Amino acid sequence: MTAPDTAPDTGAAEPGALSAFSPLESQHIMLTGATGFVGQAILEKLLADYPTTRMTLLIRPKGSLTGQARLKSLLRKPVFSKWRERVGQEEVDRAMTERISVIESSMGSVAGLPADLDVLIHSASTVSFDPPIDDAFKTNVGGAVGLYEALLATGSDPHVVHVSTAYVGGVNKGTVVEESLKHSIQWRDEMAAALSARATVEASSRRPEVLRKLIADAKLDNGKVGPHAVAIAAEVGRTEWVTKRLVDYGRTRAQSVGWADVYSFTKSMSERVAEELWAGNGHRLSVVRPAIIESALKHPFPGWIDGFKVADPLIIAYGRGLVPEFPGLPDSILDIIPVDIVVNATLAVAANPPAASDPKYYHLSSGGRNPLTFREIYENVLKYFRANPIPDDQRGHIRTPYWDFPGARAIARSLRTGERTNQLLQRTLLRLPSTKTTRTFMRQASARQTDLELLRAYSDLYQNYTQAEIIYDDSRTAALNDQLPPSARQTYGFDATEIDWDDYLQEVHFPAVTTLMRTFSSRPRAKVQKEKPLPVNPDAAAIFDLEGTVLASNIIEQYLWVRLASLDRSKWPKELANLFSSLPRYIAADRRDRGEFIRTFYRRYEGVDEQALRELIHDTVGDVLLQRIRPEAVRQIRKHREAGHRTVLVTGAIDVLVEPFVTLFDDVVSSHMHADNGIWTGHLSKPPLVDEARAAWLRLYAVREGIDLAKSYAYGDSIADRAWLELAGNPQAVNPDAALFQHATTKHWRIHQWSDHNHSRIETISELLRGDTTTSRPTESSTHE
Amino acid sequence: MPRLAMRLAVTPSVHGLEYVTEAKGPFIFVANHPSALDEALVRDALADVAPRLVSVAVDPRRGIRGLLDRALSLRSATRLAALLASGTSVLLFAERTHPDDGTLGEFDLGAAALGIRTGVPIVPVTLQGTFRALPPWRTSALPGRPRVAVVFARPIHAGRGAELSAVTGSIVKAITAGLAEETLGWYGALRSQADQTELPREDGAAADWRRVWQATATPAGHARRRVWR
Amino acid sequence: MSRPGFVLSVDAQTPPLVVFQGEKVLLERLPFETSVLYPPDALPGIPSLDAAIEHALDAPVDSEPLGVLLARGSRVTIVFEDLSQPITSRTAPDVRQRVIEHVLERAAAAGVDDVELIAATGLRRRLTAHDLQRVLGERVYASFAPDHVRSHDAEDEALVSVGELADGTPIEVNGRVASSDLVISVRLATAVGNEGAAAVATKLIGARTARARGAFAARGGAGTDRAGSTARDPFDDLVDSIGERARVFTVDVTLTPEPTGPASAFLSKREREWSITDRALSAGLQAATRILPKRARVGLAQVSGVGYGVTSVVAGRPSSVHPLTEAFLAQQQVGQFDNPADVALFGIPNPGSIGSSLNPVTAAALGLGQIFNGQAAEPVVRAGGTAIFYHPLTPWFHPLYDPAYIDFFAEVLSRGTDPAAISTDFEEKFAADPWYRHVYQTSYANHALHPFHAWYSAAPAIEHLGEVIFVGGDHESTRRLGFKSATTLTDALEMASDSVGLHPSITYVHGAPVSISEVS
Repeated sequence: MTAPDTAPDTGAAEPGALSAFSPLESQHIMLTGATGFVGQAILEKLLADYPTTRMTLLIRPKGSLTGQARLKSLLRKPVFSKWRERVGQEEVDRAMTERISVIESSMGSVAGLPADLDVLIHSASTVSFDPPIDDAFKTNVGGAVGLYEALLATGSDPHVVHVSTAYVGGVNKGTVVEESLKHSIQWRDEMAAALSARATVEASSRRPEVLRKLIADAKLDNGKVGPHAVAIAAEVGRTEWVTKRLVDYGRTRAQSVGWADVYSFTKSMSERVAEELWAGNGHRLSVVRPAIIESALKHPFPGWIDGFKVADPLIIAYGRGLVPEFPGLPDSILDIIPVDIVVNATLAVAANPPAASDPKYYHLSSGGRNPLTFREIYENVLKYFRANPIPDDQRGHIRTPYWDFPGARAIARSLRTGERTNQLLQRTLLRLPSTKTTRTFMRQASARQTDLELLRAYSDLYQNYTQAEIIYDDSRTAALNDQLPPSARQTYGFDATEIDWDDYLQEVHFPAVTTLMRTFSSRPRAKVQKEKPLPVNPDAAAIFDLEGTVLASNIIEQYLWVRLASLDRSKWPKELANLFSSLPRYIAADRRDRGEFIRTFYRRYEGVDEQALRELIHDTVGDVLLQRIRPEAVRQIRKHREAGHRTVLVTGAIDVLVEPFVTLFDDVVSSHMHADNGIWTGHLSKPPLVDEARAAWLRLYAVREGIDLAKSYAYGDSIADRAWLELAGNPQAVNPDAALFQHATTKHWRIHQWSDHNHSRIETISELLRGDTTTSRPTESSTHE
Repeated sequence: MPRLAMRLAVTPSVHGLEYVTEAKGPFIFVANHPSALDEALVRDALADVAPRLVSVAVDPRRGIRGLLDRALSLRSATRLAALLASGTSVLLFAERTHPDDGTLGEFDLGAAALGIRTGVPIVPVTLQGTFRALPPWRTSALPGRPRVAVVFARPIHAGRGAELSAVTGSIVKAITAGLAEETLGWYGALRSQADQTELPREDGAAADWRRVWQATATPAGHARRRVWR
Repeated sequence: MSRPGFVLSVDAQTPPLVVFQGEKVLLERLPFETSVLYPPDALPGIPSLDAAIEHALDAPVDSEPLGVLLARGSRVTIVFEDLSQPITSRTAPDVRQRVIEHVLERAAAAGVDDVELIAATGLRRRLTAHDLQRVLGERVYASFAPDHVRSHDAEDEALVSVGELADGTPIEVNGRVASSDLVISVRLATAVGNEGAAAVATKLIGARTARARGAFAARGGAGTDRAGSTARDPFDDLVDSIGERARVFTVDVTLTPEPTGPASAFLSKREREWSITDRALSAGLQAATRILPKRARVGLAQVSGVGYGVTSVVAGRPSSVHPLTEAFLAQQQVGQFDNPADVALFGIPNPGSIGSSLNPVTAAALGLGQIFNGQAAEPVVRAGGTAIFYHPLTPWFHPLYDPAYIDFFAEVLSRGTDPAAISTDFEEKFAADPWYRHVYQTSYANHALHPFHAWYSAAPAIEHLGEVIFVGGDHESTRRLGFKSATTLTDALEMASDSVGLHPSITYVHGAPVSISEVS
């Protein structure tokens, strides 16, 4: 088990001291949660500075990745980079095969633990603060139960180090000491209640009152897409409702028994599990309770961090100017502890087992002896971002705001107002017709929405931390550190008083976090690529909607031009008044259902002489319609043709009105009016091809014509097109309305911004006025035959 | 004022005005006279070209204006010649009779005589559509601002020694062609005149109602295409 | 006799000078010692156009009078200029209408029934009914519409081959024209080079012929004066007759810009001679262009635009009439000026007859066209010199007229501006595109080849010049056209200083608005 030739190489700082001080010598250590932030760090420390130990890792297979594969990719992470540099890749591979063994298992059902364990470090837990109550209990409590029962089954007697959190102290004031929690909550009862909560909530989610509301909500957002989409959205809404309820169950239950959130509640329950199942059965148990763990102070390298931790999103959000104010007491202590101190302390605890059945508790915190107040953090953050501002997109740098600490209530109030205003704005925008301006507003509103959601989440999350008037006494941990020989403190020490906060924040932590942010945010920018030519594929089709997509116009406008062109000018005001007075009716119909709107509106065409209309469109109105065509659309259609795609126009507009564009497409599908002796009756001859009817048609069309929809393209502009756009492999939103814009953004559809022609409608009207004379024909008895 | 009222009542268009603007005034305008709109129409068309314009009809006007005419002795050829000499143009409605269907009546020779006497160019003027717009039995024009046209023909220079009936003939010919434009089109009218084809003319009292009917029928052109039935 | 053109050297006493910039009119103070080329004052218009036309038709050059040529039962086609020549007046009938009315009166008297009127559009868009009414007048239009008055269709199926180009491409012309007994061509010209080729057939050819004739390779080397090319033009055979049957009788009308009203009269006066009223009007116009939105400014430019007076009407045998017209127009050129300058300044107005702003490609082609076909007989700028134009080059395209231009600008010019490369890479694709053909034939789009020919026509000038700078040019579109944009004249001269030095000689070609010249 020893590796004699590597031993001199390791402790680079003081090799002599190492040989004298060798904790956990040749021990077999089992680690749960090795892929987590703390777990990774512990594993690295063991590999790097405890050369004689053997490790068994409990890793959950993830998807197709086996536990072994996950270990392999784990060892490639940055935390191991310094170690790898020092010992070389071969040593890493050797260690992976000789020193580490993997047990594939999930926390709930653990089987076949090795019987020769000396130490078990249990650091697995849920990362979320607000999971549904049953999930939280399953992971944090159920996981511990499964683990300790499996361990009991092996009959061995390792020293268990149970990693908990300082916040199991609950909502309190004053100093919390390192001892067993004082409460009388029965974890078994709580567990049973939590697990049955899901069934209860599922059942109540199926009550008609709940479902009715969900359907109504789904209709509001998806009514224009079609009935099928409404049903799907309602079901999704129900699942969300269940989750939200269960989260609420968890948080409320936690608060009712004195914890801030379900995370600390379940962690304290799992401490009880460890005490009862392990210490209670005559074994050795230590509980470590770290506070907020942040980036490494020294080891493996200063500033190492694995993704954003608790306080980091707030720091970043602040740096980006997103947090104008924050609830929190300036004098409250934010108890931050660097991860390498947590690791060293945990391993020191592991090397110093208590007596059997007498669990010992250790707080890993800074607040007791080296407090960092919220005000100090704020000042440091401000100083840092003033010196290193985050660049704004081509607009210089973001200037971070000053905080005033107005108190939680004032902030909650302004936050609530902001949320309400924004919600109202979005609701309104969804109802307005889609224009460039409304799309810009929508974009702004959804960005604001994200900001507000973020702020809300932070303010909920951090309230407990930033308003804490609680101090975690860590005298036992300090005593343990004092036991270390001075020569070993460099490598194994964990003294929280050593931290120089200003230096740590300015030089170590903030740079680490902002670098991380920059790598994140630079990613989407790399996505903006040059337009690639469309792949040639004779089986693909490009399906275009007409109004709003190819044409910057709608069926009301089309009607208006036709109508005005066929009326004497003296009758225009009457016609316009009539049309405008009916607009609310049409808008209401359109909001309910596209098909209903089309049917209602097309009644206006009652009495049209089809032949006369054809001539009118051929002579004048066709050109008016052509003016509204978007040049980008024509180019896109041409590109599709060049790539051998079949170009198809699908529209609810009447065939006669579509005539001027027919040559652009290979196939045109439009509505047809029912005619009686060449006079239109105002009824359609078939239901209009809109929303889901169009989707059904498209499915059938693809089958009949042998079109590969997955390779096809679909262009639409409104939420009513969603159903059929989704069928194509490459759905594209063209000048989308607010609702489709939202949908396209979340689904990462391509969004085109095609130009509306700057040919104003006033000019069109003046052209029609000229048409007054141009439509005049010579008298019948002209000299020409 | 009459001009403003006229503009509100009908949609006038003017053709051939450039013949007049390019020549030197004054002129003797000789026009047909199918309705009460005529004088205002011609005056409006000529507002910039011949601001000073006296109009005289063959039938003496009644009432105060008639008295005024008499006071100014506008009906005397000598007086008109003097006016022309001073640069005032003259508008003559030279039909001796007014057929009840708005077609052309017989022309007085006085207009041609005045032209020959003074050497002032004679401009035949055709008024199209005014009978339809405001027939004698109506007090106001048809609704919807019907289209009417004032068509100026090329000026006729009748010098001394020109034959009275020949000059009158060419005036009548020009006005007849102008009226024919309504049905035959401009080129059609030119062609039919060149070919000496008689313009179709109903005669006899039996066809009276038909002639009126025809004269007031809505012309085929100029209407917007009807799409809605 | 009108005053001849002259050259003014800018000094301290020189007032700010009028410079057209799209729909705007600027007053610019030019650097000292800039030579300002004033065109000669407009010749007085003919007072009695009727008489002039009558005289021209009845006593033509080298031809029997028109009345004799017209015979009962003969097939007559009247070919007239489209809107590439301006509508001569906003209120009075257009000159084309005046001439055509006279022609038709004679045709009617002679007993001709088979008359057709065709607008010689070349590759340009069809005329709308409204355009036709403005050009021909309501009466002529109504007499022949809709079947006997139309625009030439270069994609028509019924084209007739009447010869061969040098490369063997057949010369296909309008079928109706070739099958006529008599073709009466009514032509307008405002400046030298503006009257086009002697043969009217060049504007009545099919797209295939036009493509071969206008191909970049066929245009001769860049920099050569096109008038100087000695190669025999196969169209020389089509001047007096088209095909075996059709005889051509031409009526050439020369025009001169003349102010239409007091509001714009000052624009064509020399600034030194401005009265107090002129100054006030100019200040008003400046203020108006500053505060009005762009759309309204276009309208303003139309109102303040100029009309045209007729300076001569000559009719007869085309081969005899054409040289007369050319010689007549040459009188109006600026005769003498010093050596070609290092820098030339040009204003590019929006022609009123277009009714909207120029698209950037046309504007550039129009501006650069002035280098060789300007008011002066020789280029006013030396080879390798700099041309500075005033035009906003707003990337605005007419949705109906310019679909091919839109795509030319967006797809072709964005990849490169070299005409040779453009002609090999894109011309075929555009020419064969069914959509362009569809909108050219059924709607009012310019032919797909039109932007190509416009761009090729600018090529010799680009070759000739070292640098092309647009003052007030939209940054993006100027860049795309391969030119540079400057905000002010000072900036432009600064930019030019690299190639022409800090003290270049400058010539400002002070022009009344030019019209769109024949670009295809």
